[in-house]
This record gives sequence, C-alpha cells and structure tokens, in this order.
Amino acid sequence: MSASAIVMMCVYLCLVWGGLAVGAVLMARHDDDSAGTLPPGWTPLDEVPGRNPTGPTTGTARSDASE
Amino acid sequence: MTTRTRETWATRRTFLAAAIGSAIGLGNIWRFPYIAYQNGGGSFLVPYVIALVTGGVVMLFFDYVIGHRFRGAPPLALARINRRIEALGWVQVLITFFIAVYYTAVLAWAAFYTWFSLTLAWGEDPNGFFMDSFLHFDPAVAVSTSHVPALTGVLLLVWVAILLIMSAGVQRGVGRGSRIAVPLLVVMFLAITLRALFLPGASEGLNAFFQPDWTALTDPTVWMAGYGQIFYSLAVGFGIMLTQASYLKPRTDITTTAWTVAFANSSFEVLAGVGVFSALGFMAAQSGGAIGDVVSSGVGLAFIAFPQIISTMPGGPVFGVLFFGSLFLAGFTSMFSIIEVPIAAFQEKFHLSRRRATLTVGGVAALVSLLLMPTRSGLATLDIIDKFINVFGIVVISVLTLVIVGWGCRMFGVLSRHLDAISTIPTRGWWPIFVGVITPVVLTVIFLGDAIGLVRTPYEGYSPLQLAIFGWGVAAVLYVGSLVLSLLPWRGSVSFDTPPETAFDADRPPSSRAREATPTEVSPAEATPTDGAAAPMLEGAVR
Repeated sequence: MSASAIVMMCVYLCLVWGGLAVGAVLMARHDDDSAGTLPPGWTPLDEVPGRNPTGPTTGTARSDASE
Repeated sequence: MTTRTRETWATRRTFLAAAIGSAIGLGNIWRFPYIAYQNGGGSFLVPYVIALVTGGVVMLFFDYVIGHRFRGAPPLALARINRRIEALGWVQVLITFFIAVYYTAVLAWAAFYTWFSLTLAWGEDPNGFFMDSFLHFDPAVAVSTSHVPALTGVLLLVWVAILLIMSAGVQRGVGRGSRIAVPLLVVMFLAITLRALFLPGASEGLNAFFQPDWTALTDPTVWMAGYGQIFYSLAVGFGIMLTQASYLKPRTDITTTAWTVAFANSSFEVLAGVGVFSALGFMAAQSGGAIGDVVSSGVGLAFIAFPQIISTMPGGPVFGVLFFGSLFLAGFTSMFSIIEVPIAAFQEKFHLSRRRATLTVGGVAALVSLLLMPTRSGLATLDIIDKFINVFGIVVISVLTLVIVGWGCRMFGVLSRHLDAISTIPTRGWWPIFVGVITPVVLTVIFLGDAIGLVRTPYEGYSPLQLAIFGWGVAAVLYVGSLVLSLLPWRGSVSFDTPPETAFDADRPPSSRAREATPTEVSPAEATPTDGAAAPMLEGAVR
C-alpha cells in the first residue's frame, strides 16, 4: 500500500468510527430523561398522577362494529 | 369500545439494535465499496462524510422526529400534520411494500449460497451457475410464469420466518430478533474482514480502495454519489425510520440516537469496504489482472465475484458461509423495518390487530413476491422494480415530503423545537437549513440525472413490455394507489391531533403542559385539521 492510501485509510476509519464513538459517549453521559432543554423536574404526561397511564398511544380507536 | 396501546421499545439498546439492523443492509456490503472506488477512492471520504452529516444525519432527525412526535406510520403521522397530505404517507408505504417484494428474493438467494458454499456448488463457472443452473434466467422472456421449484420453496420459507417474527410484535419480535442478529452480523463480518486482510494481494486491494484521487473532488457527480450513497444506505425519507421512531418512548434523546445509528451504519460500511477490497485484491492477484478488471457491485459482486474468490482461497467454504450468512442477516434485519411500514400503516388505517395486519399485508406481499421473483424472468423483474422504485419512488417522495411538510406546513420550527426539548445535540438554527434547503436541492439533482437517463434510453436494454409493467407501471401504482388509499375512510375513531404525550415544545413551560394533560379521544368528526398540528405553538416562537 502507498503511504497516501495508508493515511487515507487511517483518516477514514478514525472519522467514521470516531463519530460512532462520539455518539456512544454522548449516550452514556446523557440519559433520555435528562437530555434536552426541558426542565429537570418535567414529568412526562403519561406519568402525571391521576392520568390514565396510556403510555405512548396512537389515537385510541373505537371499532365501527362496536359503536 | 376498544382501546389499543401502542407498543414501545423496551430499552434504548433494543431500539438501537433494530435501527442499526435496519440501516445496515445489502447496500452496505455490495454497493458502498464500489461507489467509493469509482468516485475517487480515498478522497471519496470528503464528500461521503460531509454527506453523512449534512444529508444523512439531518434526514434521520427529520424521519425520527415526525415518527416520534406524531406516533404513527407515515399515513397517520402525516395526516396528523395535515389531513390533506396523508397520500404522501401512502406513497412511502407502497414503496416499502414493493421493496419487500423483491428484497426477500435476494435473501432467498443468500440463504441458498450459504448452503452452496459448503460444497462450492458453483464449480468453475460461478456466472453460468448463477444465471443458468440456479436462477434458470431467460433474458428473452419478458414475463415468465415458469417457477423454479427450489427457489420458490426457500423464498416461501423466508417469508414465513419474517412474518412469524413480525406477528410477534415490535418489541418481542423485531426487538428481540435484532438484538440477536445485529451483533452476530457484526461479529461475522469482522471475521470475514480479518480473514480477507491476510490473503495474498489484500494490500493491493486496499491500496485501490483508499488511494486518493483528489481531482475527483472537482467533479459534481462524485458529490452526488456521496449523497446518493448516504441516502440509500441509511434508508431515509420513505417511511422506514419514521415508523421505527413512532415506537420510541416519549422521552427519548432523538438526535444522539440518530447520530449513533448513522455513524454505526457508516462504520459497518467502511468495514465492509475493507473486507470486500481485500478479497478483490486476492482475486486480482490470483488472476494476474488489475483490481479494475475484477471490481463489481451488487448481484455481480456477491453472487459471481465472491464465489470465484471463495473457490480459490484456503478455507473457502467457511469464508463463504460467513459471507453469505452475513449478507442474509444484513438483509433479514432490514426486512423487519421494511415490512413494518405497510403492516403498521394498514393496522392503523383499518383498525386491524397486529396479527391480522401482518398476515394480510405480509401475505399479499409474499404472494406477489412468490409470483414474480422465483421465475425465469425474476432477475430482470427485480432489477427493473428496484431501479424505478429508487428513482421515481424514494427520491421523489423524499423531496416532496421535505418540501410539503417542512415548508408547506411550516413544520421545521416545530420539529426543531421538539428535538431540542428532549435531545442532546441541538438543532436550532442549522438543521432547518440543511434539511430544508440543501437536502431537497441535492435530491432533486440526483432525481433529474437518473430520470432523464431512464426516459431517454431503455433501462439496461430491457424490453418495452418489461419496462412498461415493472418500471413505469409500478411507479404509477405508487401514486395512483396512494391517492386511492388516502381517500378511503379511517376505521374506528382516530385522533388526528398531536398526541399529548409527545407534544414537546421547548418554549412552553411544563405547567402549561400539565394543564393540558387530559386524556382525550377525538372522533374524526371532532378532529380539527391540524395544518401544522402545533400551530398555536408557533405563535411568536418561529426562530
């Protein structure tokens, strides 16, 4: 292999695998519940006390037949 | 009244496995190495990485945030943005339906070749074996009804396996399947690459792959190739990633997840390039020719060039099992997310149970696949559908969705704030420019280049009848079919409002959201068309 090919191979691998490493580090440092600009005490709606724990639902559907 | 709770991925790891399994497909192994070699070798890194960040990652943000915020497959998610753009979602659904039809055929071939590797069944003439003995391909027949029995049987088995996993649901089926298959795929391909690196001639192969040709960077087609590779490889813009993200928990770091998935896909791609070109270097050394004489892509690389390599290398059968096994696994895990799009879309529109939607939609796709693919004209049919779906389906619908959702419905601001509210990598300011301006322009240039070529000259010299049926006909079905499906009424009562649990907006204090935390169920009659579902949130907040 020529020197330029070896250099490009190293740069290629460092950039692409480095990008993957950056993503992995970010994920390790920030858990889902604290990421972003929402205030730390923010409670997801599906965890608001007294609210039906619908979780992430799409529109609850009534079947035509049952109406 | 029936209430159906939407499934979610149990953990971020499960979603990552499914998303990476979805992104890593056949194209990573058989397309990227060739594209990189043809477009400047080592210097292709520059357009490739720029396209990855400014095209691939930003498009992944776009797909993920729509799926996450509007929590549905493309027709429902887009209808929640604006009822009038539901048809765009159906185009995406039909694209994935047709991809599923032919993608499984390649999986069946890979399954056969994994078995053939044990005995090197292709003998001295892999080309003749593949075309004649295996596919029984007859280029003179436009539409064959003559099926190859063994191929039909294995294709049926592949479909049964896929539909069994899909019917188990998103978490239990796709999630569990991906968590086993994706690490296995990576380990298998690492083994292939390590073995290939120690073959005689490997360094010459790597030299050809990584040797930079800096003059290539002045050629606009090289930059288009970089963006094209990223778009096709990541499978963005036509519903796959959108649907997967619709099963994410409300509080999910979307941008970091998307970044990780995009770079994991590229990391595998570069690994595949190293493995493939090491093997091609060995092949060139054995034949005494140059790398340029043996390099190929797609079906030719996998089913003709690689069998030749496997036949001549020490330990060939083991290498063959690993290579074709990897090809099968890469395609198999991608199939989960491909067929998930039509299954989820029909499930939501027609209020079907998961199992019924899987059997109905998957059953129809399997039937079409079994009718068209394992025949004497199947190879040509596959090639034509693939080309026309890519050009007139994927590229067109990506541009239309970006322009209509982003600019027409003014959603870029809403989506950017949604991302920033719950994600680590900020999007404010830069993201709408790349996803709203640069990406549509690049995709339009790619489309024009490909479409003009297809209009001017018959693709690959196929007959007018073949092109009319499987090319232009399939393209027409995408758009006419999507219009018809969008006009059909939604079964059951579906809310077209933004689901409250994901109506994130960084500008609104949590207290105002808590007051809205009343579970509502809106009938179609009550549902307000949501021209920008979050129109009220836009007031004074457009940045």
